[in-house]
Amino acid sequence: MEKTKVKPKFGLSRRQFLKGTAATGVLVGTMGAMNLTPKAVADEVEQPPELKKVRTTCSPNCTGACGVEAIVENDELKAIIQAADYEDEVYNPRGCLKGLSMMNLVYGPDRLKTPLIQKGQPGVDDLEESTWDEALDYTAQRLKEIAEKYGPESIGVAFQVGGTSYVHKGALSRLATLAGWNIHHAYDQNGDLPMFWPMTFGVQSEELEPSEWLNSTYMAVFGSNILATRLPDAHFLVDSRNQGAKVVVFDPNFSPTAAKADEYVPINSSSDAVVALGICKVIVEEGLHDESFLKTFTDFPLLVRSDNGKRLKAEEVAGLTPPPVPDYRQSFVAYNGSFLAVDPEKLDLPENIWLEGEVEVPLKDGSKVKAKTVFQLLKESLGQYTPEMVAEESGMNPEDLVRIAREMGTAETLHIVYGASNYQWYHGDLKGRALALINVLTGNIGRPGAGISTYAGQYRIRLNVGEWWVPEGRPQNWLPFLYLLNGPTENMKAKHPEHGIKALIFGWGNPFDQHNMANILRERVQSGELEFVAVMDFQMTTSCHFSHVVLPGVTWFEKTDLVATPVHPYLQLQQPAIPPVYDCKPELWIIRELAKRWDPEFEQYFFPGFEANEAAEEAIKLMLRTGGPAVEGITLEMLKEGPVRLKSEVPGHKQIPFYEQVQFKRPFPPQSLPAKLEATAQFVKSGQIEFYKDEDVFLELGEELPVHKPPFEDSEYALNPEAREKYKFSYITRNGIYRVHSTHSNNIWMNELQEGKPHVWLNPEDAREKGIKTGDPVEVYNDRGKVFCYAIVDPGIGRHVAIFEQGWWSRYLRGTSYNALTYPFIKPTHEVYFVPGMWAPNTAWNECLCDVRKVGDQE
Amino acid sequence: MRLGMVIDLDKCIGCRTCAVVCKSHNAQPPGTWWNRVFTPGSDYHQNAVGEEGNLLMTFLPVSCQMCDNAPCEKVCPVGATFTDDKGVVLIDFERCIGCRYCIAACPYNVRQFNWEDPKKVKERAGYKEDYQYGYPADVRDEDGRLVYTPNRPVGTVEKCTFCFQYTSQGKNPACVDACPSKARIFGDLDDPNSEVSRLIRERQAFRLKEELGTNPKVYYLPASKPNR
Amino acid sequence: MSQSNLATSTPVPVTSKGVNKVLVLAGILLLISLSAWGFQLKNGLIVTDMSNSFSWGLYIATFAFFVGIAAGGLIVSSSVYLFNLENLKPFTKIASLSAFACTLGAGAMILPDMGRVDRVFYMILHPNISSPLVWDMIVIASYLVVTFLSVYMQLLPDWKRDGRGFLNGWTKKCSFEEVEEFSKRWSRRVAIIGLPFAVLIHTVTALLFATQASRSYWNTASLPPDFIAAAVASGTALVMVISILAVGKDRFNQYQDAFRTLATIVAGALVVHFFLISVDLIIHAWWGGAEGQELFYILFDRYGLLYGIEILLPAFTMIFFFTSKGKSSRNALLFGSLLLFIGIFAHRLMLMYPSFNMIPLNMHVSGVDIGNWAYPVATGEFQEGISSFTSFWPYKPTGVELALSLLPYGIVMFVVSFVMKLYPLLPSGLNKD
Ligand SMILES: Nc1nc2c(c(=O)[nH]1)N[C@H]1C(S)=C(S)[C@@H](COP(=O)(O)OP(=O)(O)OC[C@H]3O[C@@H](n4cnc5c(=O)[nH]c(N)nc54)[C@H](O)[C@@H]3O)O[C@H]1N2
Ligand SMILES: Nc1nc2c(c(=O)[nH]1)N[C@H]1C(S)=C(S)[C@@H](COP(=O)(O)OP(=O)(O)OC[C@H]3O[C@@H](n4cnc5c(=O)[nH]c(N)nc54)[C@H](O)[C@@H]3O)O[C@H]1N2
Ligand code: SF4
Ligand code: SF4
Ligand code: SF4
Ligand code: SF4
Ligand code: SF4
Ligand SMILES: [Mo]
Repeated sequence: MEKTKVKPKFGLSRRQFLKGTAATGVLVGTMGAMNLTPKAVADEVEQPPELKKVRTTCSPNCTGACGVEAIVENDELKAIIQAADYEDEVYNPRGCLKGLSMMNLVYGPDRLKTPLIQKGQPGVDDLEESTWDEALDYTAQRLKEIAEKYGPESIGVAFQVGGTSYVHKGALSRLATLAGWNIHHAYDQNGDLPMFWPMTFGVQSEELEPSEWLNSTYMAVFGSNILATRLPDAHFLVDSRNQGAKVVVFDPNFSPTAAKADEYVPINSSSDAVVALGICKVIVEEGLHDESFLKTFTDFPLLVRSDNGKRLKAEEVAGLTPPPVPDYRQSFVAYNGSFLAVDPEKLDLPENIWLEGEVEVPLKDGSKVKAKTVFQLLKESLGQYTPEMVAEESGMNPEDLVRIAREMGTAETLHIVYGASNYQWYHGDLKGRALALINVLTGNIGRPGAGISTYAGQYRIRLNVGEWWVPEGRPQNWLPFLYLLNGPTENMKAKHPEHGIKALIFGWGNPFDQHNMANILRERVQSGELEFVAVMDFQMTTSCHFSHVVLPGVTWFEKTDLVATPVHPYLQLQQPAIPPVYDCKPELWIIRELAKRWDPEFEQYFFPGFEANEAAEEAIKLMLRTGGPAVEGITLEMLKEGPVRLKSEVPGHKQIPFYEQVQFKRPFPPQSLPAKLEATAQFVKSGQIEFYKDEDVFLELGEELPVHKPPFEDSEYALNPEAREKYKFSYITRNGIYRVHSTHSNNIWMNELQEGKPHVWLNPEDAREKGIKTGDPVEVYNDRGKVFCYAIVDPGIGRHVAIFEQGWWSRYLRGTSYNALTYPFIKPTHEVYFVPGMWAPNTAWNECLCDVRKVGDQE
Repeated sequence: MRLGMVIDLDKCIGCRTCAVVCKSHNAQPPGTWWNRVFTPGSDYHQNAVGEEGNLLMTFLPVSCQMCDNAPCEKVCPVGATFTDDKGVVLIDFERCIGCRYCIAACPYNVRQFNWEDPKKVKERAGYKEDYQYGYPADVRDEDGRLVYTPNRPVGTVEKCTFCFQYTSQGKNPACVDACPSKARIFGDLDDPNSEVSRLIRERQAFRLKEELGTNPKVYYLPASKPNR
Repeated sequence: MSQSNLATSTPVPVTSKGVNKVLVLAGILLLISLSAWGFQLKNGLIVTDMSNSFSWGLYIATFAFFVGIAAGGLIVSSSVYLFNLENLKPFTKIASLSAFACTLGAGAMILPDMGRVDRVFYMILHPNISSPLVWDMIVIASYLVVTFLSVYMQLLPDWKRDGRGFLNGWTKKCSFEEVEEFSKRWSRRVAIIGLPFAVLIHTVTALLFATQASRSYWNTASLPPDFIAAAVASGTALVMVISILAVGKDRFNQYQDAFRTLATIVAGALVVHFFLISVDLIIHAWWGGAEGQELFYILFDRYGLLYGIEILLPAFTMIFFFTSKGKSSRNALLFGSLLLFIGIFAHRLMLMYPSFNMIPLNMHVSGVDIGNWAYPVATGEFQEGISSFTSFWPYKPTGVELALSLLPYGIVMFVVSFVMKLYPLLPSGLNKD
């Protein structure tokens, strides 16, 4: 064989095998496909190629926000690895299988190439390729027509929660605000808003940063599958356990997280409140609660009128003068032998204040009324949650309950993780209030390693973004997504547009798979009820198929953006590693182009004259300048060097919720961005942690205190009493490790790892009864719809549970949708807590009944 | 120097990140996996094993075990599989005749054959025209043998190289750097002070199919939880 | 094959229609198999049903089959010399030729199994002496030379007489007697050195498998003797079949004695074969455990039919050939041999199924009742919607594999009939009436 010296040319975008002269070999003639590779001589060891490495941030909707390094050659993304450059070593390396295989989406078969316009029937006909001008002109023209006919508020805008993209998502908020469109907040649309937070603590949601788990001595996980949904942080769970913390997992299903725990406690679906209240009863009965904490930080000493169930106001009591308080506060009354007007701005009740008891209160009008302390009422209410009753409702062993209650009651630092899947139930708020009660009773709040956390999607905004998101502080229209599906309700506080929503513009989301009644959305587009839909995405999702216009955006490897998410308190820069692939464009550019077509005046709001990435940098500078204390002193240049920890008042800038409240005795709540304090504080008027809610709806529903209510009674059975007999399976749509919701649904490698098929998990006993075996094609269905998938029989699944891993594009489900089964229930207590752009009725994905059958078996 | 790896099964969360990062950095076409992670006892990864009240789930990553007494090397008729001076078992892509004897011989089923031109597989999977992922250059060892190439010649065998492209530069393998649980530790088994040596000594390390006498250089730490 | 045409008074090449038909058939087989090979070269081995978990299939089974039947030739000719089985003497040429052709066929069959057939010469350039495959190559190549020499030596006198031949220029100077004497002496020598080679090719081919400690079904010391036993049985049967066909119906009785001897050898070898198989099965069964259960499931349940063929057909032949009825009639011998071939072929295929479908990386999962869990293997094939991992591969040879596996059949038929067409293989005396 001839020896050819070959010097590798790294300039080539594609490395080919150099064809040698096939002088020898058998059957040379037929060997077209086989090249002989000449061997380089020994002294010519190759030098590593020049590879460009760009530090950027992975940022789908998973909360990870992992710092990654893109390995680039000739403007092509070749490989990805964690940047592992966090100052706090324990956070290195952050990343997961999805983030590190993004090339499958960047260059995969579903990547969008050009703008598309639907000229026929959405969801039926193929979209046609168009130029950017055509697509943008058409979009602007259709929007203007609709606004003219129904008003601009009939145009709905949805974009996923802000933490992963302060610049580009902010641009859409900016345009929607300028144009007077309605915004559907992603947080409640996702079902990620744990409504117990506003109810109890007056905040949007809070969590310990995961490195704090190392400071816990007891971790109780209620339905959060950390090993799947907090992949980059899951090691903290194992590390914490190995350092001596006890880890207990409560879940109807044996999850990987349960497998790593010291103890797994199987409980019935949505029976967490009864378990938590049973635990609280033991703690209170055995005096394991922290009285001084309760007297200082909670509403437990406050008096509640026995006649109307309302909290007694200082202004009602004879001889009491309430201290001056802002509008959003209220002075209530406590008792220590005499009545005290409680100052809601100060947490300084005397040690001898009554926690328990009943007194007669002289009122200003001369009448008298009986009143009990909140704690007294609570104790009475807890009376029903005996270990036997809890066992009955939850399936938990009574001895275990008592033992665990004592363990929790005596734990040095208790951390409870309350999973999204667990609060995405109709009574998720009650469960949260009951779980939070364990922490509060034991004083496990506001200390390192102690607290209750809800690690859901990337929701909370970490800095003041108003200057960029809300131009000139203009008013915004917010319409919770559930009303879009459900229509207006009697108690709604949000303003429903007169003609409803006629056009939908969205990005960073795939509502035609991901949002409940996805099938209804599809029908509305096809019937013309929803007249126009435009989407920005970088790949051809199900939603794109149902849109009239598809505007191809870019991935996080192709643009500049700013990222800071709650679980991971670093401010990070997203930097373009490669130029946009095909004819895709950064969203800021798309939005600017749309803005100027809607109204030429608007262009000036989007840094005209700057190229998209430069404009993004301008927006970042603006937000850093006006972002408030969390970003104080942080500059763009610093971010270009690497991630910078957000500032907080906790030593080491740690993220420990309510640290300031507990350590510095500040009133509740801390501010929840982006709202102003008064908007949220009005819901905890006492300035304390509130377990007693005396709004009328709560009193009517008997939910003034945390109680247990069984699932389905107020939802499925109320909707259709027949469901009780017809549908015995609870339909739990959990997250898989292979997708971030529907993102990566089409990732070739991810699908290789899961047989390329969507599955439903069933208990062996249930499967046997239904004659279903692993691998069988099945349908999960109810009256609203069905989803096609393949069965997996798993001994870890609870009885009468059908688990579907959500996020599959419709095309993998033979055109069905797993969200055709779910229903947009609205719980009235949620409607009370409406703050535009913050709080709204939350979606309850798992409040859903179904049945399963083998495909072919008809009912 | 004898390079070796320790995988801590207690820390391993079964996330398969190591499998995926291996696939990407080593340009494995769809269908080919040098590194796998499964749940022993279950057909589907991360399913429970056992029965109600007695459930179990552990994870076991398996890639080339880098046998000191490597059957794959012994059976290779042309010396395409060889062990380098650091104990890494490698394949010369220009030498392999594709007899697949090594696949039959490997007790760990880690060897992968290019049944088809990898470029064609990628094309069929639908990637952007001409797009190739993975470490983009050929890598040769000191003797000029081609031990890594982003597009493997059809008809040759491949497997984990301990990321030769990185480890020959003194860096860590991709799976070690990428494991979000830091469950994979890489180092010199000959150095008694290396972390790998220390862990093997202190943590009851075991190896797979020890009874076959293949003498792997990949060690596992048991998945046992602390006893309290 | 028609036989009457052999009855010419002088030993001249056979130019019968029968031989021509075989040649045409051989041509067709070669054409089919070579086109299949071309197709495979273009697309890669993906056109087969092999996968990473089932890395050897029909090709290697066919290879092993042909190695096995290649034994017969030298066993027959050596027996003539070593054991003085004079009645077999008339068939030594045919025997040697069939051995040569089968070895050639076996060698050819291994080529398409190579992913990089263009590099096979690396086996010579860079042989790795610890590889049983290299030893196999050496012994097979040597055997090919030996069988070639055997045919060559035996044909020399005929060539001398007819004044033609191949590589025999040097005999021009010699007298016919000298050549005959030379031929006799050397045929004997070749036969004697050939016998150990015949034994060796089976031993080494068996060692190819038996050395593999990770595959318990192969990893037994009884595999080499069993290969030899099976080879003696099937190789002898092949010589017998060719001879029966060559001498024709009419003169069957003339050689019945020889055929009886051959049939007895076949049956005797099968006794040894079954003895070795049963010993192995007994050991697996006695040891029991999950692995043993798995093996028995695969042998008797999952691949029960194939295993049944492997066991029952040769067993029938064995018993049949011990009976005088089985030994005595032409049809009985042909029928028994046919069953034997099918059985031995099944045996070769069954080298693959139990071995590859018992994934070597299997484990006991403590704490739950799982004894033999197989760690899934990446298949190496990609298809959307289909798992890339498997712990059981129900291998079914594809059309391309079936077509390509016709190659050695084509080669054997071609070589045997071509040589028969050119040169007389039965001694002239035989051709008289
Ligand atoms: N890999 C990956 N990670 C993600 C995401 C993703 O898509 N993929 N999404 C991110 C987002 S946006 C979110 S909101 C979070 C969600 O994070 P999680 O809340 O952890 O999500 P799930 O996987 O839905 O559910 C976890 C567990 O809840 C259990 N469960 C369900 N109902 C109940 C109940 O009533 N009681 C109890 N005790 N347990 C119950 C289920 O059995 C399951 O084991 O994950 C985030 N992380
Ligand atoms: N039944 C059921 N439904 C659920 C859930 C459930 O548990 N059960 N979970 C709910 C929850 S918690 C959530 S958070 C939601 C999530 O639901 P979605 O918000 O719809 O999230 P994804 O499915 O990930 O969709 C994100 C889309 O944005 C695109 N995208 C990502 N980054 C960019 C970008 O930078 N630019 C552009 N232009 N596009 C981008 C992706 O390609 C993808 O198509 O789903 C909810 N739906
Ligand atoms: S998908 Fe989420 S967890 Fe995974 S690397 Fe990206 S941001 Fe991190
Ligand atoms: S990346 Fe680490 S934790 Fe994840 S499966 Fe691999 S070894 Fe286990
Ligand atoms: S694990 Fe297999 S491929 Fe790796 S060295 Fe051992 S025998 Fe060879
Ligand atoms: S397939 Fe290649 S590496 Fe494996 S034994 Fe054959 S020649 Fe050696
Ligand atoms: S060392 Fe490299 S090649 Fe080997 S399994 Fe890890 S990533 Fe893959
Ligand atoms: Mo979410």
